[in-house]
Amino acid sequence: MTLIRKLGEWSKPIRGKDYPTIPFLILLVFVVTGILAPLLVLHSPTQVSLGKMLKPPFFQKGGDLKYPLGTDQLGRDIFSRIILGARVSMIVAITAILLAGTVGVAVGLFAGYIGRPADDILMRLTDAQLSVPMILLAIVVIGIFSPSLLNVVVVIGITSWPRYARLARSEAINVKQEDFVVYAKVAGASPLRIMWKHILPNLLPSIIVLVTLDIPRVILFESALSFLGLGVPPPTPSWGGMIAEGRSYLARAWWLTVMPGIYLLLISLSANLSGDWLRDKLDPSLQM
Amino acid sequence: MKRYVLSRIAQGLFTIWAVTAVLFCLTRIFGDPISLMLPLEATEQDRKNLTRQLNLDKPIPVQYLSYINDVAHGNFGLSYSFRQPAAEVILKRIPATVELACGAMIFSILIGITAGMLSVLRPRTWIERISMGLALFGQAAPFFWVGLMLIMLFSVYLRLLPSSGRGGLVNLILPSITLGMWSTAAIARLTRSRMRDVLSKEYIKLARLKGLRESIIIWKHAFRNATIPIITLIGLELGSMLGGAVVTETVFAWPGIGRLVIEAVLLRDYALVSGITIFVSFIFVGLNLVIDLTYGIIDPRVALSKHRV
Repeated sequence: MTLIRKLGEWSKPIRGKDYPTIPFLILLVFVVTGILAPLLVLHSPTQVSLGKMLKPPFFQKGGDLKYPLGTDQLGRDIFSRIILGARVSMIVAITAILLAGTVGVAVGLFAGYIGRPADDILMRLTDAQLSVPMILLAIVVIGIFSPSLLNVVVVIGITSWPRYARLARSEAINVKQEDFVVYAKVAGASPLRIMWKHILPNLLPSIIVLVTLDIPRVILFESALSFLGLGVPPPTPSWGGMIAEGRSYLARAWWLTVMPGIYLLLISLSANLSGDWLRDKLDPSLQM
Repeated sequence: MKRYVLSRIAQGLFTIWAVTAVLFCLTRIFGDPISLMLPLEATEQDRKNLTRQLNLDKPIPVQYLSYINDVAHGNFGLSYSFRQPAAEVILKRIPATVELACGAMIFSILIGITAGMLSVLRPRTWIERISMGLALFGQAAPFFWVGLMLIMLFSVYLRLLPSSGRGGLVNLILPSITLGMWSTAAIARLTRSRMRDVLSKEYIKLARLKGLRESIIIWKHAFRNATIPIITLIGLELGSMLGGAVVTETVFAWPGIGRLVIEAVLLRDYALVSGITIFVSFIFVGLNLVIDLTYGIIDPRVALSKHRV
């Protein structure tokens, strides 16, 4: 019972601090690892070394502390590959969300402020895109243009922008009725200036919340695409790709699939918990 | 009300049209379907014949119109990898995906609503912690990896369940759990939040003052009023499952349209890819439309609101 209570509390404030410490710490490690990746690897993650293939993690018999999480079917160190995979996930997540966020907020802000008829047209486009399952759209587009880091980022950006557009639009509609916006209009400010200087800053809290809640989704999306073979192409390590490669060895070498998955799970959980906390802090009325 | 219905239908038609337009552009501009379809020994004459047969020598607008006409009549073209009309290939694989989606949906509804209700009825206990913890896990965990872990545990180590393929009811268990994971979490969370909202309403307090039994209050009054958004979510998730079971089908080698899309994409069988995408969009749009219209009937405030929801 106490164990369950302890586990349940890891996401809550610790010792008077107001924020979920452990998830933040994990995320911090994730970001630092992503940035410093090449310096942190133990061995070259792409170097094939057939003599060392399928070594188990260090705590199992036959394991080696030099390859702490074991090696894969080509003798590559799993730990190093996981670290580089973190970098890939991070880059994709940040870039794709930046892309989706910029386009989405711009479209939504414009539609919300200008009103009809631009609003109608843009919202029809947004709804149209939301009506197609994201993963299907991604598969078709990447399938036609062949997998690459750029394509993955673009595709995830394309599938993600409608959410930002919708949020920006509904917030813009609320904000544009505020007094200070009316005064600015009366004072002769151009629509562009009003949108940029007055409305946009008031949108930021909700957008930030959406971004923090979107990060885990994008990371999982990228790993799913990599798992299907449509993500970042080999030999660049990515967590999804590693999991896919490890499938054939599920019975003999469990660490190939288990290890990257555990990291993916940890990062995703931490990002979710942090996002939830941020949302509760900034705007609990946001039902996202 | 009629305006609401018409506007929703128009939106749906627009979406399907947009999907066909985008697919048309993508498949015509990229890749040369003729080279893919012809065997290596094809002569120049064969090439010309095929081009004429597929109308690829006509100007683009004409091609587009005939394409739309074909799609409207259910003709998605010839799948070169299966050597059959694409529509037939798709129809043959649909039942498998439907079966999987139903299995996953049943799992999600049962576990999701149970977890949500339990966490509301037993607040601040370990039951609530576990339920919401599972909800968090279902939403945050990489579901395809969890599926693989389930295979490792139940098929490889315990030898209790089959690891792949479609067959009897036992084959459906692990894939349903994997596909339904995310929806279960979403349903659980929504049930909990809706029930909490409803239980704080005035008429519940009145029912308690009247002296009604707690179980009647919860089920007959609170739950009934809470379910509408939950049913909407269930509908949306079902559509999502039908269109997005790709990864799950890959993990469990399930012969549905999800895996078909991957195969078609890798083989550059554009007729099949377009066909599946249009088909799935159609289902998705249709399902959303039905949900919107039903919601409009049940809660007239939605239909009468001027603002787009």
